[in-house]
Amino acid sequence: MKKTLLPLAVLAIGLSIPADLFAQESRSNSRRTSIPRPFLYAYPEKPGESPLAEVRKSMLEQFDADKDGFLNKAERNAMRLATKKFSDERHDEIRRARERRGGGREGGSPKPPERWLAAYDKNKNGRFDGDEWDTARGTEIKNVTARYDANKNGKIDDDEKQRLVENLKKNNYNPYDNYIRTIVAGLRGERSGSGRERRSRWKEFDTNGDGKASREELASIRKHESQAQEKP
Amino acid sequence: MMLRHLAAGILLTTTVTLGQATNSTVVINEFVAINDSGLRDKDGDFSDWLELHNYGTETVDLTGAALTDSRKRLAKWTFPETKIEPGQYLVVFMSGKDRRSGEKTLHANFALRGKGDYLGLIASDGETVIDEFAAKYPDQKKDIAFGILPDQAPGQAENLKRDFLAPTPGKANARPLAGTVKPVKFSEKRGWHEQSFKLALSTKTGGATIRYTLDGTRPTPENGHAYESPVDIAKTTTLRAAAFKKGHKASAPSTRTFLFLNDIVKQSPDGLPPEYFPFTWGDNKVDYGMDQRIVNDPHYAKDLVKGFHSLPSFSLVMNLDHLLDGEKGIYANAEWDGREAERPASMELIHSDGKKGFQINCGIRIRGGFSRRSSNPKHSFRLFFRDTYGPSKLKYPLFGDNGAKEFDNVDLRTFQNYSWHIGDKERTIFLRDQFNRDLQLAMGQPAARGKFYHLFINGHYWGVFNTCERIKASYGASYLGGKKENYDAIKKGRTYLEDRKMSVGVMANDGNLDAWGRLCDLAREGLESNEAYFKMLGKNPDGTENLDYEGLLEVDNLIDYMLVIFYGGNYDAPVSAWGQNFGPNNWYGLRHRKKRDGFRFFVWDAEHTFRDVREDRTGPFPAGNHYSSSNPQWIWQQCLDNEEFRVRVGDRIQKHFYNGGVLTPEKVLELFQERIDEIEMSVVCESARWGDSGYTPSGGRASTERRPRTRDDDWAREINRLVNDYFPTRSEIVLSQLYRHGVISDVTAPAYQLTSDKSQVEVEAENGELFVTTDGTDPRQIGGKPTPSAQRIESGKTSLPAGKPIQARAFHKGEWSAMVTISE
Repeated sequence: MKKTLLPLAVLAIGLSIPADLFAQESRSNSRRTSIPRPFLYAYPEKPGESPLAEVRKSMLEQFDADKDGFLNKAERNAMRLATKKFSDERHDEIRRARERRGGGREGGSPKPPERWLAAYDKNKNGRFDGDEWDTARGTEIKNVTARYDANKNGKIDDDEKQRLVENLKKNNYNPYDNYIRTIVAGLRGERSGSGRERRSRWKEFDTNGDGKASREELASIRKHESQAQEKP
Repeated sequence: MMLRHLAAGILLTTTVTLGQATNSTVVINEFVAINDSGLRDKDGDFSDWLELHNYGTETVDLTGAALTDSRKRLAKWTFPETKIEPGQYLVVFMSGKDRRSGEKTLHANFALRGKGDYLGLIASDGETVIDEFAAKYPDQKKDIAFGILPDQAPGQAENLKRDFLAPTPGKANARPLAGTVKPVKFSEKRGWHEQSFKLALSTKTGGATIRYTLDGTRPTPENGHAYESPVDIAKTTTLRAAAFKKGHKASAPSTRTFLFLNDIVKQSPDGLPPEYFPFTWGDNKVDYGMDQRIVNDPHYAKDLVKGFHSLPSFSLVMNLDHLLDGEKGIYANAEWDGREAERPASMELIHSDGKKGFQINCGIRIRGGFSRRSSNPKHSFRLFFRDTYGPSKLKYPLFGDNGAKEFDNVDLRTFQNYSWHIGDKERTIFLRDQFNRDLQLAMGQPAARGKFYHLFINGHYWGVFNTCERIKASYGASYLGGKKENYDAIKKGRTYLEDRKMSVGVMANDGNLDAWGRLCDLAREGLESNEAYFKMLGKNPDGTENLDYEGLLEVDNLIDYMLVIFYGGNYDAPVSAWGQNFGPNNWYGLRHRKKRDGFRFFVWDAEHTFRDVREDRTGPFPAGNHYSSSNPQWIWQQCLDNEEFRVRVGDRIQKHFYNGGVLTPEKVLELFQERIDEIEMSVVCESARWGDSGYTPSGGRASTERRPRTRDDDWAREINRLVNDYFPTRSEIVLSQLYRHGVISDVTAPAYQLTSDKSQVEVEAENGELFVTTDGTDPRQIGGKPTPSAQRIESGKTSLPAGKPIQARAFHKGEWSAMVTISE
């Protein structure tokens, strides 16, 4: 530990980064994400508090049935089962919420949104099979791209994607919903355009057409870019 | 090898049908079972091939005839409508590609084994053997044909002699090879150089010619430069050379990499491709070169140099088309998986201190899940060592003296979710996954070892990578004993079926899922009773061995594995928070089917760890309620119903969270410091290579407009958070989380200390009585009674001679403390 702190402290001093900046970073890093918080007790937030002592104190209040200041085997088991029950109920709630949003049961596929089913479930069996999923996904990506591609460059740029995600959230879509993730993943797939752009960009310099950079081709590109920079 | 040539055939007027017949004039003239650099098929692949020859005077109709490598399945691959004219040779690729119609060249649906196998040509009746190698042909040699010696009179089939020959596909067979050309020798060692030099190439075979390449491709009689005089080497160079002589087998290509630091730091400063590299990588994001803002920063200049020498380097040299070409490159199509997506390559290990490394010809694939996406410019690799490329094993202590010495394959992991090239840049430390594996190993459990390396691809710097042992049957054989054929290596994973559709779930990498299924069945039935719980462990309810039961679970291993998961706050293993804890991810299990050991589990891909210091992953979680989502944490949850398991968990917690155990803050920091020391300088190199890469989902700003991520502004900040905030407090937070699951007793475990002269150990219970044993047994029996051999010390305090193992528990108000094992 000492060995660790010393060089990093020297590093920090060398960079003139104030110590409280680290502290601030630490606090911001400790913000919760979307993962549900457990269970039964609050974590001690104040420096110096002992998490284990605090939790034990809280558990004693709830499960020390004989009030002897000590959890025996039976009381510990009651605490364990209560923890389990709390977690099970919480996950049952999550499961029900997922199902309400169209998510599926554990181990199964999520249920597609009704609008998608109406449009793409050709055999009307309530799910996508065969080519139905590819058709649905491809069409939806095209539709979304057309709707949000404000500058009409054929792809969703960062700003446009931000608006897309905000709109989805406004419409009560869970941002982690599989279908939205699919759409976003599909938009990432639009990066293939960058490959095309690169191919187009280098084509004029790839004089032998092999797709690779030869010494002569690189010299030509660098000369061209140098001249371009010199132009007023 | 016994060769039989059975005469058969129905004579027609002008065409002989290869059916139930006599006097067939078609033979298997030659074949190549290990085609490494010879005949290519139209896909550009070096597929195995065989050649049929009609030595007769009439056309033979092969339609419906078959080729097979199985005597139980003679009609394994049947010919489409095909005729072979008198004197004609017909080549069939034994590629497994199964191409029969509409193709100029035929591809069978199986490949040939290099180790020797049955091979037969079967008549169209599906039964009559026309020609065969029974019981099997001999072990084959790379790029050498096995065929009929020339100058033998046709028709004397049963006495035809065959031998190793120079391959002549579509032509009359050559004479036997006079030998193999000796490999090319280099006048300079591979590795780091500062001064230019002239490189001389030589071979001990007189009259041989040497050809070499500089672009990673394999030298052949047609490819590369003819060596005439020493080659000037003044910059980073990868040179592959082979020697050739007529009538001889060519030498295996030798590869040597020469690294020049002054040259490397200036590679592609403007992001343009290096010489020989392509402009595009298919649809994959492209990123070349060293960021000159880092290279020329006085703050980093010295550490950059130190960084390159602080880690060993791998040099991957290969045909760049196999890697980066949009149509067939595996890096440009990183989602490709399986044997079809494996390409030949050379890998060298270069140590900066002059320690001996290695060069080996191997196969290479892209590995990983998330990191395969095309927006990631830095993919992971997996190396395969097969006799089709060179040695069938890498024999080198890649993971130190305590690690395995031989490998079938090795992973080179990139950094994914927390990286500068694709992930969360604020939390990038490059150590999360490796350090979780370190913790498991330090707890005394088997784990996937790993180290850090630089990687160069055809001489171009590709950043820092992390090796990782694979949890396969071969791992079990190396570390746990027994034959690898007897191991079940299982995981939550994905695989591509033949039609390239992906299958996800619990699967066996090696062996099968039978025992895992039985373990899940027992766990699902309930483990609250000792009968059920100990049966799962192969024991009677009193804990004694029961040879009628199979051991399905290594309990201490499961507990320690889960403690690592909880300590790291692992979001993504073995239950994934990304699926709201309804699904599993990133777990491996290993079990020897014929031993009494149960399943052991392995930390894997533990990147989503060490985030929020208060993170609670103790669950319980629903993942596992269905077999398809079964996982070790679900087994743990089922086990928690059993009192004896909870006591054992308390004992393991006592071992690892107290008295300098692996999960105490001081020990964690000590271990973490070792990894910091290992990579600290090399992080500057990674910063120069990938610090400006960034993840731009839909284009966005050019990377050159971004501030490059650096060691001191970025990496050190997160390292400091872990060192100052996370590790000092995490242990007790995890204890508080585990407490709620009833696995930590309120009776404080005994404390102990050595006397000043170190002759005695003083043991003291804070409350209640003390029970100690010195015969290795637990002072507490299963069920809760004291062990007969245990000393009962009512005062709660005693002194015992040091040097012998002591087990001690406190006993207070009818409750036991956790057990303390003292080995002072």
